[in-house]
Amino acid sequence: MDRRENRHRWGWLGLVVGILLCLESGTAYAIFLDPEETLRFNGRVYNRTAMAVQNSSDNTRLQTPYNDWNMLQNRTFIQAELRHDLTDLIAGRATGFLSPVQAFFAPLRALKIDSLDYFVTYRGEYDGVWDYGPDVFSERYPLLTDCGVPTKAKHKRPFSFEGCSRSDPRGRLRHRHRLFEAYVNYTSGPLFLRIGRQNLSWGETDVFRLLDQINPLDASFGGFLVSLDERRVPLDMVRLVYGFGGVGPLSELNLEGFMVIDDKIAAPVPTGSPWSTPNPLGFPGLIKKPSKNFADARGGGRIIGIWGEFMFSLVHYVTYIDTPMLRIVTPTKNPINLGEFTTAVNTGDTSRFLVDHFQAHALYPKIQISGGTLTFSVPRISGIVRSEFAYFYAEPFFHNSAPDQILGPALSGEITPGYQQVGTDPVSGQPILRYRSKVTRSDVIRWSLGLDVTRYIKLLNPHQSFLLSSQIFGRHIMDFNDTSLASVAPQFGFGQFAAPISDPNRNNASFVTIDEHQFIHTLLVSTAYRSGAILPQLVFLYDWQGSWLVQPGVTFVRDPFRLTLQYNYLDGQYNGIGFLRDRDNVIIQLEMVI
Amino acid sequence: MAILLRISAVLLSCLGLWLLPSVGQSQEAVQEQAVANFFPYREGFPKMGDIRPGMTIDSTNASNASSVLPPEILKYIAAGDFSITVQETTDLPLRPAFIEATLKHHTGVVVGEGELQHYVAGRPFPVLNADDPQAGLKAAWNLRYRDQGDNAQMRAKSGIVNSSGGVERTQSFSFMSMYGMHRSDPDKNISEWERQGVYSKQYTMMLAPSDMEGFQILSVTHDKDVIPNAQWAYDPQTRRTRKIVYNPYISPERGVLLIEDRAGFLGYIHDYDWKYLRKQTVLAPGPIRAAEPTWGGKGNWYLIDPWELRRAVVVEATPKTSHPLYSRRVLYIDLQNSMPLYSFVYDHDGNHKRTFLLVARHPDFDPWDNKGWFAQLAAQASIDYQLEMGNTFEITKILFNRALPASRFTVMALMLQGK
Repeated sequence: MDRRENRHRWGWLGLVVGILLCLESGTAYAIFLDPEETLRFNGRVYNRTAMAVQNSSDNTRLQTPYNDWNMLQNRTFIQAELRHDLTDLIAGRATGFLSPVQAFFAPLRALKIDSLDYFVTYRGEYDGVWDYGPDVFSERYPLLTDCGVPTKAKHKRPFSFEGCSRSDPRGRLRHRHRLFEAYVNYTSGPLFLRIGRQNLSWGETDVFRLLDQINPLDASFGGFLVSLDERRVPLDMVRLVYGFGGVGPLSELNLEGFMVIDDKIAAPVPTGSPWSTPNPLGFPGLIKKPSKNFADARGGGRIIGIWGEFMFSLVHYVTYIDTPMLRIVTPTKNPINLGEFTTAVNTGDTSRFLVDHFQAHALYPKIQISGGTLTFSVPRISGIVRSEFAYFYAEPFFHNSAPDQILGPALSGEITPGYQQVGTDPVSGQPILRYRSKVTRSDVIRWSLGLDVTRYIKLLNPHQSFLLSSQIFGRHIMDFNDTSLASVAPQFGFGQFAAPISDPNRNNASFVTIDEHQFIHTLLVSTAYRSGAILPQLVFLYDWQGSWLVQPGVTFVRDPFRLTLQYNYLDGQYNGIGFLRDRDNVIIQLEMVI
Repeated sequence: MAILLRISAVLLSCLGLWLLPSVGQSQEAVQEQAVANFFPYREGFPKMGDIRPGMTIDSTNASNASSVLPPEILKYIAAGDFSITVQETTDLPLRPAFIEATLKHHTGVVVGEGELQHYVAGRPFPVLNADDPQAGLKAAWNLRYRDQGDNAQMRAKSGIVNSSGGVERTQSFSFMSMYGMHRSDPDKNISEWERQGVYSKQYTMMLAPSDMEGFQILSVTHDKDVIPNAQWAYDPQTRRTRKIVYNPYISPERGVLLIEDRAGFLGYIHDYDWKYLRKQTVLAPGPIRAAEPTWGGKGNWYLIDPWELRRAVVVEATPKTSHPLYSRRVLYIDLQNSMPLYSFVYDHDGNHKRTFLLVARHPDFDPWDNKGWFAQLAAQASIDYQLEMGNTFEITKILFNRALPASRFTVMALMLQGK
């Protein structure tokens, strides 16, 4: 660790300690910065440590293996929010310390403003696992391409040497400072407008998202074990809402629309991160992001209505989903020579040849989603029924094939599926080939049905009620390709829809196939003891493909602190959440709130 | 039964004033008694035994106050948990408009199935007759339809306090309420809410702590008590606005008071059998002349601003079906303004479990330039003697009867106020 990094680390610690000392009060009240209560500040800071409780599996962490009781995360998180109501300033009736400047806001009165405010959020994150965690994380991650004898200089400045590049998860994930959200709200009568960097969430489900696909998620610091709010990536967006009030039998009808001009997507977690998905294909990657223009804009609308006990919404929008469409290609300007390919395979230089000539493109598909929600209460059981339906149009799917399918021409001497001859080498006479792995699209139906119930279970807790929240999720791929691998492998063809992850149960000789129909159950049980000072919670998640998560946890509350202990037990088949079955961990989090 | 009640209601409204003498009271006498109940201190403030303004009641002389303090309070004064300073009774007359509405509309109002029939505005039952088997139920309706203004915007905070006075958790929030029906001036009712049968709506936004900041709840109370309240919530953790279940028997703060314990009693009337116990002069927390009350006694659980002698109606509510925590509730309701003074709840073994003390704000204390005083809750102390835990709730700022659009009480407003 160099001196600069050391200074940085101590700077963080100093900041955290400073905040702790400044806020030693035992209460947690909102802080208004002016007597008129137009400027409001909130903040929270936490430190979370995640420790592995099992060794990483050989097949999933080839390059960054760790052992049980190795640190996976030591994350310090600071969030500061500021909300400022400008309505009185614009109306010329402000009396606070900003009143001298209210004349400058007078022209805005022409907008017939009912209210105008702005909101900004700062988020700072630092993960110490990259500095003082296990060696596999705290040391430089291996170079990916051959640039000769490794030297210190190459490690430090790989890009200044020809052919050198490095996956640098440490540089990307160690710390981050962000103006997380920044937007302005404008209300005039039934019209509401929000412009700026923001999050927008539609739908009714918890844990898994159906219609809630507008903002990408950042899985780089804990994956789905971290709350949705913390993982959302805000987008530059215009959001418009128009309220029609009561219409006919509806007590309320609202129309909402949004448009996003932003290039952010759910960037894959870099290989080397403790939270990355199992080992990727091993090709140099290229992430193709949307551009910040109207052609690549996301947008859509929804109608929300309330009819008696029922709350419903109808939704349609265009977005970039979080799961990238993975395509293995030879770069357009760099097709391969079959003769060289065959020679490389015969001499045992296959890996070198593949890395040098093939690329894995992560393309974020822009797709349309339609759907709706319906929620109603069942007072007799003190329950709420939540339902959601989403239709994904033309979602891309990766095809299964033996991982050596890409070697087809070199092994058989023929042009196998996926390859195309684009020329002939004038010197050797060998075919010049271009490769493009197969991706097809299919419509997908996703649905969810949930029930939330509050109940007293006197035997377990005589003083407080329990919240029981259960959901079932379904996914159905409409034009499912279930071509068996056995029928295509000899011809180096493409088989069933799959996740682009090698299947250890088949000696990594194929990718993990996915099911046409998938069902997942979730159950959350929570209550409180000692008048809310002790908050136990149990989350259970079962994927009917044969994997599960059991997540018991307890939070101790004493303002302004929260201490959370949580155990994440993942196991089952190597599919869905089972891809992370070797990531069992225990979490200790100390949080301070204002 | 419902048919009989409806017939009675029709007869009452047809016969109007002429029916009343047949039950033993002339209309003039009823009107006089109604007015007298609004001005119970017109003939002078109550005097009870040795209780005098300026005296302190503590463990040494608690027995002297046995006639004016319920045993549920007396016990803890005698044990030295807290003491009371006595002040002169405060006359807290309600707005003339509310009194006029009462006198104009109270005749013909009858109790139906989970609702009142022919109720327009004001206090529905300004005169309670101890011999009337429905007197307790009518007192409960008076409590529900007490004068609470047309709307109110409040800033409030609450804390969970242990027996050594340690504040374990605090919350700070803004709260708004609006009444769409039965306003003192019926012309000011909100026609859309009337059409939908919506009596009132409440909006709450959590301001602190920051892990709950931005959480909002919209509650809708229907005029018919038998129609379940509707609730929606905006959760900043999920950024969603969602319908949530309204269950008066749970404690959202996970503390020592249920939703129905708020403001003395905020539950469904039809869930209880109501029994009128008596009319009594009691010592109760007097109105405060400050933004915040004074907390003291054991655990800082008690409201220790001066108490005063007030005339009260005492009713008992027994759950009709199994209640998760309580076997019964005893409510002391201020005769003059129908605001609860305190209430007590008992567990299923009949033991006193919780005490709720309430205090109003004095009309003379109004730094917010409000117009038209009504008995507004300034603070509530909730004490669970079995858990040895208290909850302090106080409204630190209130603006009422201001221009406030009904659109602030919509699901859309939750979405827009969300992050």
